[in-house]
Amino acid sequence: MSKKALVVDDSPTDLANMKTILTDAGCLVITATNGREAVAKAKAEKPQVIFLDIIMPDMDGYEACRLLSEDPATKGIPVVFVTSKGQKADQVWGQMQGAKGYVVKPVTPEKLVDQLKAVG
Amino acid sequence: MSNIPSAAEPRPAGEWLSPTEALGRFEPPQGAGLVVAEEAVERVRYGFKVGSLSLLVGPQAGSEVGPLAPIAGIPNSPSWLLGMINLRGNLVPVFDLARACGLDASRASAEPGGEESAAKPMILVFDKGEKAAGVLIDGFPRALTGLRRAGQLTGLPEPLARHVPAALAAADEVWFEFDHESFFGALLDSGAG
Repeated sequence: MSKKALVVDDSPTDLANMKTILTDAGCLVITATNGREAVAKAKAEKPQVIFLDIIMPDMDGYEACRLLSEDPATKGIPVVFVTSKGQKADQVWGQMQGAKGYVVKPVTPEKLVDQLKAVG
Repeated sequence: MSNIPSAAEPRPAGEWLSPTEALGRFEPPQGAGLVVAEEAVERVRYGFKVGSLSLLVGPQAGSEVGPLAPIAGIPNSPSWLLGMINLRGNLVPVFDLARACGLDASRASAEPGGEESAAKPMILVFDKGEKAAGVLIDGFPRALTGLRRAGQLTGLPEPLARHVPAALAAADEVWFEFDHESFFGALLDSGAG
């Protein structure tokens, strides 16, 4: 059975790249372009994993992750941050928001598929 | 001129008591008293250290944390306003809580942008957009759960005392809940004056 993945990024290029990688890995991919849309789609679509950018307009990935991890309807969905913020502090803070994984851009198929496997 | 009869006046049957009268008539049942119970606080909070202070904020208060970035000082500003940082194009003021509270602000020195460690100063940014404000903290914040009401608010510096509504305990440590919005507001008012 294919996994349903929600990919969230405000960059159309990164969004298309991740969508291609995950589709090739056998996922059914849905997308959102900001944190607010991601939270709404997570509740409505119940994906099995969320790949979430951090720096986005309207609602950033940290806030979206906090909301997702506090909501009983979505707190069981693993969130993987996919971001250009590559400092150790960013990764620690990401974990504190409830993320289960962290990928530093540029995204490669190996990085994304490894995270896909790691979060089950 | 008021339609509410005073407590001394006889009241027609079936008429409502005023709130003050109603509260004044309450007598607790025999044997009942005020008990300050240790109340568990289930939600996760972020704990951070500023000098000898251990402070807590809610999960939505801190928007991000980062290593000590270059801070542009502001001439003639109070010593507790360290200056501004450029957070992805947004100017964010950075405060030194230790100085604002009159604490010993001696910290391990760190070069801006250097490799961060648990003890090195970092900047915790509260809120976002125009409300964003950073504070210098010692090391990473910690996610804390299973906190219990500690009940006592002692040993707080005077400038901070009015902005700490509660003390919570985790393991052997007492953490003070920090109302950052009211604190920053008061700080800026005092600086403006």
